[in-house]
Amino acid sequence: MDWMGTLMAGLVGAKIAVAIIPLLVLAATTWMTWRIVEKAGFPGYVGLLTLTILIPGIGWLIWIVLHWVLAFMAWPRDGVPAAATGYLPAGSRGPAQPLPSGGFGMPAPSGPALTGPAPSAPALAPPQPAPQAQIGGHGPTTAPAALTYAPAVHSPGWALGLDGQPAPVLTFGETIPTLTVTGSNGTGDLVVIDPSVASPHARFHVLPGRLGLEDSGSPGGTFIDGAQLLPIHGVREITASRRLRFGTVELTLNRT
Amino acid sequence: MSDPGSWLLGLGLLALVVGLIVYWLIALVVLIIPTWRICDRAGFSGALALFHLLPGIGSLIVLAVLAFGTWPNGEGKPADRGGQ
Repeated sequence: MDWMGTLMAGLVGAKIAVAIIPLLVLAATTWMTWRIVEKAGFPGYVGLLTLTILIPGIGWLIWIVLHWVLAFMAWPRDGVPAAATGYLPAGSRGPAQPLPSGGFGMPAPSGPALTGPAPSAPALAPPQPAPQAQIGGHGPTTAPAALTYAPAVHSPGWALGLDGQPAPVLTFGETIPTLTVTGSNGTGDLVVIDPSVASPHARFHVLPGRLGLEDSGSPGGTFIDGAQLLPIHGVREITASRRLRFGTVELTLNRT
Repeated sequence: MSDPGSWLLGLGLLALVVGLIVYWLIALVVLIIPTWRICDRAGFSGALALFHLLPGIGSLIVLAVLAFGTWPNGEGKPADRGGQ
């Protein structure tokens, strides 16, 4: 009667499989949902809501409702729309206006207020040094070589620095609405001489006590604390962020 | 006159087809629409959500792509992802 024993073993195995396979599917679904909600910017444990499907009767209904909520709610990854934050619209440099505190990275001028067509390349009265900060040297280096301009510190304002260098690369106050980050082929407020940095690459948006950043569609990419910023994200709040990356050049961001 | 068994078989097949159509319609409304939007926001083609029409394994395929694929439209901060 070996065949009977084999049949019984097969039936038991089938019963175990029928019991285990749904659990494995549920575990895999929960794990994948954990990763998906993380990518949307939520804490991963929100994915455990998938287990609501275990609630008898209405569990599947709750699961579907949560699915719809996730699809149509605002995601932390998307940040806050610029229009809701008060930042200038993405792509906008703002109107030409005086630079009452002497621009960025510079001591306050003693002369008359300066005006310019756009704050991205402000003209400063001589004999002041060049108004833009520059990182890196010439050639296809992937790492910024040296600090070529040590600016004065604005307070309140913001400071961009390089790892291992005590002095900031660029400081700027809160009087300029936007600052442009550009590569060696462009003109901007922060020129990063690195092949991974485009011209223009990104733009800072400044408000009192707050800072935003938008990507200009650069091939090298712009990253905020390791998360990529894309042009479709518009202006993203970076007031609480501490590490920025333009292409392969990583900078620290601090309040002054 | 046909055999009544044949009629029953035909009705059963008809019920099966109608049931599949109803299943697809329900899947279309309750699963495909939100999944389409999620895929779209992630940067994938929304048509990926059509895998829901594949009974059983289809939903797992969509989940796997969203969970393990790199989102073209960017992902949340690593700090939010378990401190990676």
